Amino acid sequence: MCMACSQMFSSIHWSDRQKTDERGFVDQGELLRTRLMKVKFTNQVLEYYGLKVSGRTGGGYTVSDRKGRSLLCQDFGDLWPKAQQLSGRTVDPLDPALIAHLSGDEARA
Amino acid sequence: MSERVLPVTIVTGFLGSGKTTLLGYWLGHPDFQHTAVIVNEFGKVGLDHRVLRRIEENTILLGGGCACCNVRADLVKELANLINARDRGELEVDRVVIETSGLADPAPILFSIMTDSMIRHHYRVDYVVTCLDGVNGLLHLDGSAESIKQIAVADRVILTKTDIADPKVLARLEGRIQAINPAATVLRAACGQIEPEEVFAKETAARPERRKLPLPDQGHDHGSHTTQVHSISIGFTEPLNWAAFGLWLSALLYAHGENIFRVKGLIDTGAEGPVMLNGVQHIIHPPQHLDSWGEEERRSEIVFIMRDIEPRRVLESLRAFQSIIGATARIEELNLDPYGSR
Repeated sequence: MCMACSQMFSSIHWSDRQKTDERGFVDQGELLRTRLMKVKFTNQVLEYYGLKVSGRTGGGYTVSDRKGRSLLCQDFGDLWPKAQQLSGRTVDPLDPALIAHLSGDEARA
Repeated sequence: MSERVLPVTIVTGFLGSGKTTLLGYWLGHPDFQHTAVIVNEFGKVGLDHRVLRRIEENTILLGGGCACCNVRADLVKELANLINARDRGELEVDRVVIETSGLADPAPILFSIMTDSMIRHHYRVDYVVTCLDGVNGLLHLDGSAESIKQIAVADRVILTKTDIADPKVLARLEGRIQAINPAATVLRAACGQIEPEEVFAKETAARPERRKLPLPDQGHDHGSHTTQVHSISIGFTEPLNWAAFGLWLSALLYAHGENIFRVKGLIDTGAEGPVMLNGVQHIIHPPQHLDSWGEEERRSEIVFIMRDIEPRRVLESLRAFQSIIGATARIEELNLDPYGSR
């Protein structure tokens, strides 16, 4: 629970690695590694939309645009509506233009 | 604490498909003596059971306006009541069965159980069981989008009334079910009777079986609904990067979740065991990271059941994303468009 806004939430998204040890504890190192990796990959995708994402201490993410506007995201799943809010476009992995952009990157590499 | 998490089974199916008859039979079974049953309506077939709760369907539309991410407030309240009664010692309960109304969309039920901040710690959905009328099933599938969706989200499909149904119709129905949802196990029940052990048996293979699909009955019009529902099975020869795949799937479901009825599969992430993935529309069950592959061959395979999305676009997208994220997986087309987009 957040003590500032008294909201009940957890910032662990299904895509965060959640393998637990025999005592039922989540491996925090692994959780952090997955989050960092996701931030890196997501930035490669969001670049097409003129956006940038960064991880927040203690969980959650911040997404910002080139004008310096930024929005807080509760968890990884919350990133997409916030990205849409900032850029006015839906981040759509099936969008041929995005696919072309990503494939073009590969061709240049 | 975790052993106190109650399994929830959702029994769905079109009007008159034999849900209540089936449930009535199960409730006589010794394993179901401490089962709490939640129903939306009292049907013609009465249920005689100690813990039977009826709820008025009451859906809260969330801001997003998406059809699947609605909270069934009625259900959340009833499930909370059950837990409270159990903890006060008033009620002995080891399983909950929710019988949906015939026209209900099961997705909001899953969403409510998996996202409510209290409920999700006390319940887990074990199976979605869908009844399909062995006599009138083809009519239901052709005439109603709800019926198709109920098949798409099912873990088990039970063909009912097989005692009075035409064997040819049953065979056609099985073909249709497999075409819509290759990941579901299809079972038959005569006179509304099928032993719970058969339905609740541990899946022999966690991997969605890749059956040789019967060719669609050529020349037969499947109606306007199924023609847009595709299922595709994608295999990868090398381990996937879980973070990258999570990013892709999460974005995909945000943009297209309403049209992706089902995502199910086993993923090789390079770790010792596979990740079991199971999703319905925008909702992904917490993926299970298993310790070992057991008997399974070590390879990733994921089934997507989609409406109005060209399967090839998914493949193209995966290819584009793999190159940017440096994952070395390769996509194989396995079960692309099993009954043709006619």
